[in-house]
Amino acid sequence: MTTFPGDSSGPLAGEVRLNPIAKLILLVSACIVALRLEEPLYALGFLGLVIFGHLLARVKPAILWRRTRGILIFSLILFASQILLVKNVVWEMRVANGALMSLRFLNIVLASHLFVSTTGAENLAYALMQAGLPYRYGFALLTTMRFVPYFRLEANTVLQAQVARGVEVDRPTPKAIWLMAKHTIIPVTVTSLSKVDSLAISMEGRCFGLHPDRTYRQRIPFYWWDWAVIGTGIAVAVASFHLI
Amino acid sequence: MSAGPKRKSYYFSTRDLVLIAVVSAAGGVLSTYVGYLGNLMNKAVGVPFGAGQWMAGLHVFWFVFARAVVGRTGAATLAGVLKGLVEMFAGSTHGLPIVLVSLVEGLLVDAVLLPAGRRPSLGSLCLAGGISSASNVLVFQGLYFSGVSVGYVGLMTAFAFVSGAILGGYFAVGVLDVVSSARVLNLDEEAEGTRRAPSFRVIATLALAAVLAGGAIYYYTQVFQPFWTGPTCRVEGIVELAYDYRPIDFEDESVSVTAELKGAVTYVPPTEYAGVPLVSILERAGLRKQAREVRVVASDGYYAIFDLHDVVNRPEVILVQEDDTLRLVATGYEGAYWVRMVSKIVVCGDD
Repeated sequence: MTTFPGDSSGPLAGEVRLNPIAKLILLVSACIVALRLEEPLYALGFLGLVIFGHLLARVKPAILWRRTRGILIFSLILFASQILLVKNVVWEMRVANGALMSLRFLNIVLASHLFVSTTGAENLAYALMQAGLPYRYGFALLTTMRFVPYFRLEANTVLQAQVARGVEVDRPTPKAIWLMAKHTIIPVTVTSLSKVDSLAISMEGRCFGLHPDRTYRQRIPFYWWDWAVIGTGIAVAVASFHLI
Repeated sequence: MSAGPKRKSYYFSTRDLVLIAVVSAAGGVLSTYVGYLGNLMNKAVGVPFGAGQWMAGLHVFWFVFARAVVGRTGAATLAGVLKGLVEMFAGSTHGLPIVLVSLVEGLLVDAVLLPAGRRPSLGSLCLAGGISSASNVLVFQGLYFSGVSVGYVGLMTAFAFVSGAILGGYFAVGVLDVVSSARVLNLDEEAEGTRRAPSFRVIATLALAAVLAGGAIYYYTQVFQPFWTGPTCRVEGIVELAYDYRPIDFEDESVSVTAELKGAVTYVPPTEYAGVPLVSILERAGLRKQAREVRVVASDGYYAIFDLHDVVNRPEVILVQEDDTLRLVATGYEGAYWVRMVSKIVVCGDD
């Protein structure tokens, strides 16, 4: 097996077109701009850009709809609550405020969705490590992400077991919250902690942390267009503070 | 035979990092379910958001627990970043802001527990859980500015604080006991030499609490500007209590009048306006006996002077919200008295 230092020109990782760090900075910039926009029409235009980004990234509309329909419904609730609950403000302003708030929320969530749809957590972690993040912390992120499917299964099993026993862990009441905490979080926590010592010993047995640097099997490249995207993102975010 | 390279000692050991990672992963997974229950609670109460703050403590439980079980400052912050990333990659309904919210929550847990040593007390864990949990309301309001009243934000913050103290702090101690008694983890690795006298911890915790409380008082009295809930104007002069008028505080006293503006240049046909009577605004401030006139001042310095006795008997003179500004609809007065962009209402005596 061939490995490469993080700053070498080893083989490229899969279909990485834009460096995950560039995408992350672009996402942060997009969120800043979304928060700065104060005209519903501009926010609507921004939403169009984000959706266009989904099309460019070839996110299937059916998947986009399935993942974001709850968010769309919540946005509508926000919009309706501004119109119906806010008093002493003229009708037009209520509509404008409600639309702006809903669009702001939608823009941030959909921009994040675009980032998540086009970026793997592993690629982000490797890109950060190759950019200088101490690999032990990058490893913590990787470990966290790798445990997610396991704990999801475990949490689901525990929840189903408690529901089957008649424990009311799925009701929106204070009692259910306490029962949920007691009968779901404790078992999941104990299960998760039971993995800690064996994994830590196993890793140290393989000399994890012995050297200050590590090698990689694949390289997450940083091209000139990544710098261009980062520069543009930062410039737009800064400009939003002066122009809007 | 050579012993090989010596292992470098790190601030967080490998075991600490694994521990933080698994706690964050478990927290990220269960947060989806906690969020779902929170939404159910909002629907049950009939509000778009807020009621779910009763669950907020379950989000910060993981940071308090990570800090308590690792025993090092920074564990909660790292757990916050990791849990936030897990939630974002798992398709959180908040997107990127959830990373910021989790980071702030983790940072606050670390900050509050800074003087508490490796094994914080129940009280300090509850305080850390409460403060950390309450922060989520302020961060979300700061980001989105939902336009809700300061009172509602305060109520949500109080809910979140109580939830954090109970489900984040008190519950974390219970889970630590379970973990310890089940011998899942060895929690007694603290070296004897690193133990500090309990009195020092108590003093340090109290000092930090005092600093935080002092900071909070200073912030809310000297720095804090309430979330923007519409335009404001200052009511001052010969009054018992000067204050900042906001339409949202007078929702119940709003009236509708039909008025016609007849100015030297401008004419507006009879139109219906909704606003708060000037007399109600003045009465809230408490008029003193010496008061004789009311000066309504615009932000550009323009002003109109009204006889106090006259204006008190005219409830149809109202202050209305016009886009982001306030405007006086001086029903029965000529157009020059219809002051736009009102920034100050000054009660004066006889000049």
